[in-house]
Amino acid sequence: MSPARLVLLSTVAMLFALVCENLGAQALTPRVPSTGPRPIQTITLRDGTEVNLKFAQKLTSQGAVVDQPVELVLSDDVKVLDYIVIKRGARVLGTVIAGKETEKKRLESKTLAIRVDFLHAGEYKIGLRGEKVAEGKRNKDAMVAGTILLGIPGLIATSGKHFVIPEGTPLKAYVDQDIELPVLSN
Amino acid sequence: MPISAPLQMRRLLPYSCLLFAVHFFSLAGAFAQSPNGSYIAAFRTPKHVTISKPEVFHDAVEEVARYLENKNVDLVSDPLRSRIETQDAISIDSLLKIARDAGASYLLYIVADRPMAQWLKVTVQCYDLDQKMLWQASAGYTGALDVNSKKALPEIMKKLEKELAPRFNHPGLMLKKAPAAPSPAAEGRP
Repeated sequence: MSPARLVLLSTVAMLFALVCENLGAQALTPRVPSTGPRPIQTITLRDGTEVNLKFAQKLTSQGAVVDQPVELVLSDDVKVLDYIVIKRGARVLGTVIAGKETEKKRLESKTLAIRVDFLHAGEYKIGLRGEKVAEGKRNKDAMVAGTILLGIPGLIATSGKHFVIPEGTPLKAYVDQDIELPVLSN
Repeated sequence: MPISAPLQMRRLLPYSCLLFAVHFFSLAGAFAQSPNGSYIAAFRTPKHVTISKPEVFHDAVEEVARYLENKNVDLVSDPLRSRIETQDAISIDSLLKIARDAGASYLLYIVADRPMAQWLKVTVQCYDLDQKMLWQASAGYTGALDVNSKKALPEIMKKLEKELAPRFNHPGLMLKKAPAAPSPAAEGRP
């Protein structure tokens, strides 16, 4: 085969690969909701800005173990001067700081508290600070069910309060340090 | 000194091959980022918490995950945390948001239960991102004459493997795309 033909063939192959790449990229685009046009300006989200969160999971003093990650979610858009910088629904992670020391312990913890760690929005990981301590809420349903099952009224009451933080419970956290974020479309 | 046209082309040939190789591998890379990954989360039922041990739960989840990995199922790992293995319920809605955030297209929800008549029961439920349950597979072990649950997990895995095997390369258990074999051009041979 002549060198000219070889060059021609390899160029055609390269173009074919380029076309396939584009087609493949189109077919493989994940189903992510469109966020509108690319941000054109950035704005600083200041340290101490309040953010509204809610629990994305249930947490109980029976199940929560110290250092266990906790799932939360941003419940309202975060705005700076009326510009949205983080949209609601962004994932937030926290950590159990007061709960059972190990998973093996059968007795539930007498306290239950979590610390909010960071908010994950796109490529940004925004440090947050804030804590939530369960407000001694006794789970009456669990107590009644337990009493009926065991047939010994009052047994559950002796095991201490059963702390429950239901999914959807709101809490507030604060931005831990200044961060430059792109302005998002409304 | 003037260079003849065929000679010029011959000199250009290695560059052309190199360009082709670069595009070939970028193409392979695009396909490696499969959009069909599954995110694993596991839940331990209150009955299991009351009667069994946490190790039994974690071992069961680990065993199912290992089996799927060995079978080359496209599993998506969470870049933000370790695998969710919890006894405090997380709603399917929340789990699906987490799965989507991690870049997965399916959720594999593993439930470890301890029914009264069984040592262990493991259920694998598959959801798509629209909250629709696509399928579920479950297996339990009764072992009436056993004194402990030692045999439960191996027996359950045998049953589960039979149920899961036909679902490979179907929604929820899509297999990873095989990496492309290196071409001679990539090895530096023009």
